[in-house]
Amino acid sequence: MSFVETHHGLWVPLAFLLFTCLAMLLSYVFSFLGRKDFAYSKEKAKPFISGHDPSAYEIIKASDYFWGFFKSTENYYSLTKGIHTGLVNDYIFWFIVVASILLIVFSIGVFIWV
Amino acid sequence: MTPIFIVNAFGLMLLAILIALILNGVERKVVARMQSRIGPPILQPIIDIKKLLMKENIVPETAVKWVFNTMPFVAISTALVFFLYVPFAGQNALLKNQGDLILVLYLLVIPPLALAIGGFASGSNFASIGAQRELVLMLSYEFVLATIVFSLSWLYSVTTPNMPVFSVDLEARPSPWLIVGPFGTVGILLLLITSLAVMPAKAGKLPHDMSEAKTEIADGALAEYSGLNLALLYITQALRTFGFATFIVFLFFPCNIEQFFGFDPFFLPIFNFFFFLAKVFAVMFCSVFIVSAVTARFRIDQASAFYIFTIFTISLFGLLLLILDFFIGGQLYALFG
Repeated sequence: MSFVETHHGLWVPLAFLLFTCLAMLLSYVFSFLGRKDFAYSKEKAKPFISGHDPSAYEIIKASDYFWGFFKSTENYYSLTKGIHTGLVNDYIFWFIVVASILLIVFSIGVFIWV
Repeated sequence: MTPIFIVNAFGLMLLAILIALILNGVERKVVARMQSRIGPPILQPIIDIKKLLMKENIVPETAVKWVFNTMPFVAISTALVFFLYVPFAGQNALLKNQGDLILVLYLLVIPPLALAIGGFASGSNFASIGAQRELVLMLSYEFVLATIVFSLSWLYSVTTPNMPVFSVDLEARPSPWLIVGPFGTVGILLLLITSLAVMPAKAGKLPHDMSEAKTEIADGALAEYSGLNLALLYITQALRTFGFATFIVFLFFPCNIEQFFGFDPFFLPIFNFFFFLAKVFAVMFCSVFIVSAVTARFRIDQASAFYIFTIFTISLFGLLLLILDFFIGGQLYALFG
């Protein structure tokens, strides 16, 4: 059976697919346990809006989907937005700062390792 | 792969469903008793499933029907396959040679993702808000989870060189507590605390049940689901809780009872099974039962900040202590005798 193996881990995609299909088959068995003799009604198929006026609801924009995440990281984003000035001089300054920090960290790492 | 192997897989998946639903019933009962309520019978989740299967499976007219109907099957099937890749019920993983921890991490992601996609596909505003919250929560805690798994894997890579570090083989995996010094023990304890903190979000329990939030957004991503589809998602939720508790047990307590007591080999699987259940119960008790009994719901931005800043920082400290323990722990311990 074909498989993906690295030095540390492995994955056999065919086994995964086979057992996912088996699990799906098992879950499909549940569909035979229920009832199916219900009459179709258009009213029942309307989305639940808790009795409110449908016109009061707008479609949620894709840009709002990660609202909670952006709200919690608001300070981080306002800081990074401030740093992105659009001036090449500033970007080179940050490049030198980050490269220096990395150099120090790697030097300490190499010193400990040796 | 013999027919017996496939029958075993079916048996394990059915057992997982049964244990997950009973544990769900136990949880409801214990939490109710903690809040001075009588609570439902322990078999209530099974009764609920039976009732849901008798109800009509309504598909909203605004839904993308094939996505809406497919996602509950995707969610439950991946939640079930998860139990074939992690040591479960005191036995080694059935597919221990067919996958590793990275795959298990992905399998933990798919059910909530399928739930979110199903919610979006329903075309309902309540469901969209619930799905959006589920995604934000995932985005916040998955990084913590990856840190926990990679920290422990790094520990094995430096202390147990012959072991494949992402292996899900129970026999190849020594207990992490036994291969570290005092610094490392505190590090592993911090990682355990962070994984217990992730548990309520993974399980969709208080204080991180904002993606369902019954009183606020009418069950969120589940708002439009009913009948069979809701029954499948209900089972998936129970499997997610049980699955993540199993995962924590595997990562931090991968030991069987024969390492502590001698038993007749004939009865050993039974004792191992109950020992495994006791460990899962202990994990769920600490991270779900007590927490959901005494806390109120977080707002989504509070929950996100909690995982991104507080819990992630604690997990980084845990990793740092593991690194310190390995690199300079020996010298420090020698210094203090």
